[in-house]
Amino acid sequence: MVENFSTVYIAPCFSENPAGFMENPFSIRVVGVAKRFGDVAAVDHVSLDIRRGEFFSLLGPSGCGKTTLLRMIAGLEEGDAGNIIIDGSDVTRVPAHRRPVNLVFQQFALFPHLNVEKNVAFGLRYKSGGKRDSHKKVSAALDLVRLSGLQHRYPDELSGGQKQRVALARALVLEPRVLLLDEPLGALDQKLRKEMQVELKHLQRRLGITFVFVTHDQEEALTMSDRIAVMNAGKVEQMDSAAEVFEHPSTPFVAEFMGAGNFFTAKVREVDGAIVTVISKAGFETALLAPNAPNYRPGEKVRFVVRPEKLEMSLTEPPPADARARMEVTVEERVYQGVATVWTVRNRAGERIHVYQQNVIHGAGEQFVDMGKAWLCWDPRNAILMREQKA
Amino acid sequence: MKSVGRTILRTYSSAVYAFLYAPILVLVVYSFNQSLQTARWLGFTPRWYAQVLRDRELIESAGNSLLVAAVTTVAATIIGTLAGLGLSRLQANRGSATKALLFLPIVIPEIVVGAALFTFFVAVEWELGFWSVVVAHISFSVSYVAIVVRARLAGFDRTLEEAARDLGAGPLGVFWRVKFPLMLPGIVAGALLVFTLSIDDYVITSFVAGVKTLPLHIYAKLKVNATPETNAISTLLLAVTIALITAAQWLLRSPRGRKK
Amino acid sequence: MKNGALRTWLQLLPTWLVLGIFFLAPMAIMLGISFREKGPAGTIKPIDDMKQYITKGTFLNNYRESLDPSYAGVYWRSLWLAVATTALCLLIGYPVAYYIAIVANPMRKNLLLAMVAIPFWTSFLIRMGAWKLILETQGVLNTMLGAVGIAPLDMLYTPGAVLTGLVYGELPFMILPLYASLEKMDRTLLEAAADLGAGATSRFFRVTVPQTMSGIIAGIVLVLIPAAGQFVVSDILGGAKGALVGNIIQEGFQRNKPLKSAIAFELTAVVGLMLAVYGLYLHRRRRKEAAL
Repeated sequence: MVENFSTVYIAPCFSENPAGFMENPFSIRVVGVAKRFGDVAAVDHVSLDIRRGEFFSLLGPSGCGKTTLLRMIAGLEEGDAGNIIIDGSDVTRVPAHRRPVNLVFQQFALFPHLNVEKNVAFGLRYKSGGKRDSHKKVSAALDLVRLSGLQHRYPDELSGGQKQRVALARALVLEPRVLLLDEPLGALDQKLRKEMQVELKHLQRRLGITFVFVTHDQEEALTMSDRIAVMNAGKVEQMDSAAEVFEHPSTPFVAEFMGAGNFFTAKVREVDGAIVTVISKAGFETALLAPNAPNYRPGEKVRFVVRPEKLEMSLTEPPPADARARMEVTVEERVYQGVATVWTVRNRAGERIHVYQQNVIHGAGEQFVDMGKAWLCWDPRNAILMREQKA
Repeated sequence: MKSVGRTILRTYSSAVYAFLYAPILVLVVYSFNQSLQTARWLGFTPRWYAQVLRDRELIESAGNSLLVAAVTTVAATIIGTLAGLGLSRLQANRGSATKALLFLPIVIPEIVVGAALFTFFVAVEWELGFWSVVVAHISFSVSYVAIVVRARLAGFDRTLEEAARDLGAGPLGVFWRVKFPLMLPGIVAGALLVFTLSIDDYVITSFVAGVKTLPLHIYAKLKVNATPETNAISTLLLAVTIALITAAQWLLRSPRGRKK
Repeated sequence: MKNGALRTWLQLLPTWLVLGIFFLAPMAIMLGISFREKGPAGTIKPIDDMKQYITKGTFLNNYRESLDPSYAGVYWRSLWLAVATTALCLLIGYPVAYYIAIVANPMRKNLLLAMVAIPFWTSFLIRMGAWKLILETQGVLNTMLGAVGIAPLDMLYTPGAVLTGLVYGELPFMILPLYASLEKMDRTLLEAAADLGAGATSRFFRVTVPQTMSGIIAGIVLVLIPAAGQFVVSDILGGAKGALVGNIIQEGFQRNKPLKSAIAFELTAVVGLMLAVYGLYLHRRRRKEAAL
């Protein structure tokens, strides 16, 4: 793999680590890593580069291999193939306790026989110079996670959120170059979860160290991450910035997983540079912008996706002057959610479509009746073309 | 209606507790009875205790028992703990031979085990003495420690081990700073069990003893008659047992004080 | 990985050494002796002609002799006492376990439980001695009866005395597993049953008992097996007329090792049979649970 050093990347806080920046813009490089459990390929030859100081998320459904990959970076799982490089040195054969990364476990894994202070101080004795001022370092770490004053409590005397903070302090006190987090918010309730998301993000900004975060929650990943790798069945489907993954999913799986949901079957009619004109199964014609257009051939079956919030619904057909794409649908169901109303409608091809409509004014959408006709329109730039591959 | 059922159950349970404790209470009370022959209460006297403490044979047998129990406890605890550790490392479907081996001494009647050990010592011409008792006791105790320690480790959260490794602890650090402290209550419980079983054992010891242990001494006396002196010995032994259990509880108390 | 296997093996090695030499070997030697003939003064008679010894069935002589009708009384007594002990422990223990697990104040549970277990930590001999003191002709009970003008009863050295001692000794082993299963039971099932119209009795037999069956069976096994092999209780409280299988084995073992060894193995076989039945029950249960 050829490194592309021309990629200019400025770490949000590279000033904290200038030497590291000069050496190598990558915090972690995963090269062709694979791991099988019996017949199942948990991680299937994955390669990815995680930049220094970024908040990087591994996102995917359970069983997609994201946790296994994280555990391999931590050194808790041995790979079958590939290399893991941390800060430019190959650590593939380095055992977990000698790697400059630390992990925050899903169920926190606090030592039940040690109090908070001793839990946090646990790793200091293995770090050169760690034992010096260990008391001060522990206090500082606890301050950092806003948990001062609980030094003498035992894990079973802490709430879920407090345990979470101890687990975080215990890893951060060792000043790891990379902090790995394995669904650390999974055990918390909804409200606390939201708070911790913001707090973790702030913490990461402040410390400027690389965070690698595993989650199955797309919203969580979007909220916190600089970049996201969406994983499925042991492979990385797409690796991009949060906005890019959300707005421009590159595969049907990513589109589906990011909640896009509205798939339309179509056939390519004409390819003109980056503009691909397709005829949908529902009968209408629309031109789409596809950056990789030359790959498409006329007559090819394709799909395109439009996110529910990009659709606009009206009772009458928009005037022809309106450049937007449109289709006629039948209204089937409305679900009032307070902030918005989600409509389920069906087009002539029988494709089910969700429409997300902000409730801007009271009584919005009352003009639509069940089983009545309506029109959907959208900006063609918001439709994403993709190949008819595995769903 | 419900409260009637409650009252009946409570009264009934109290009666069963009385059944469990009455004999022990009787022993203690009658160890202070002046009467030598009958259970008629003839007044309080501590003289049976004085007599017990002058009983050279008794003191000697108690010394033997303590020594046997001490050696047995140390050896069986070490061996059993290792076995528990080894078993906990195996997958659930492995090590069934070892599990069966550990299970047998517990379920086979003591009388059979005692007879077999006696036969063995005669067959290999091992003279019955102190060590024959010790090895017999170790062989029937190892299982208990192994099972208690293994049960303790079965509840052990593997991610704690991983967390320790992740925080920089090597194999030794993981063992002594995480695994061992969490196993310790199991080990102590196992050791306590072994000590109690060893110091109390009569059946197997009666077959292999070359030295007189306390149960042998008490048994010989009980067989003839329950006397105030045997009651006094029993009461003393009870006191020692209770002291031991209390000490163990105190040692095992959770460090955080207010936790149950 | 290979390293780990070696370490596991090394950890199990001492156990195999100790139990191999001081448990398996003795059992094997005794099994061998059970097929031999006794010589004079506690010795074992040498085998003259191995072929004849086997073909004529001489090696089974001890097993044949052990089934002699003269032992039948002892076997029968051992059996019924073991069964009666188990039944009594279950009847006495279940309400207590139920009280601790379900009725009693939760704050007191641990104390009540500890009070069941504490007698176990005190010397078994001493507790049997206490019963001797109570049941003797001039013992505590008779003294109390005498005070109200009832003539002394012969209670000691009767099967009843042995039964009392056995129940007393084994009761904790019944209550603890019963408690464990009652504690685990889903209480809302009882409420559901009541809601569906089941009365207290029907709730108990149709919900509680089936739900705690594993505890009942475990308790039965834990009581039945030791009761079957008992020897101290019958020796202290049963006298000459109260002998059980255990006493037969112990008495004069040295003088007739082959015969006594044969009886010991028969006892072991009976215990093994009970365990096999229990094992089958557990296996079925696990399969049933897995199927759910």
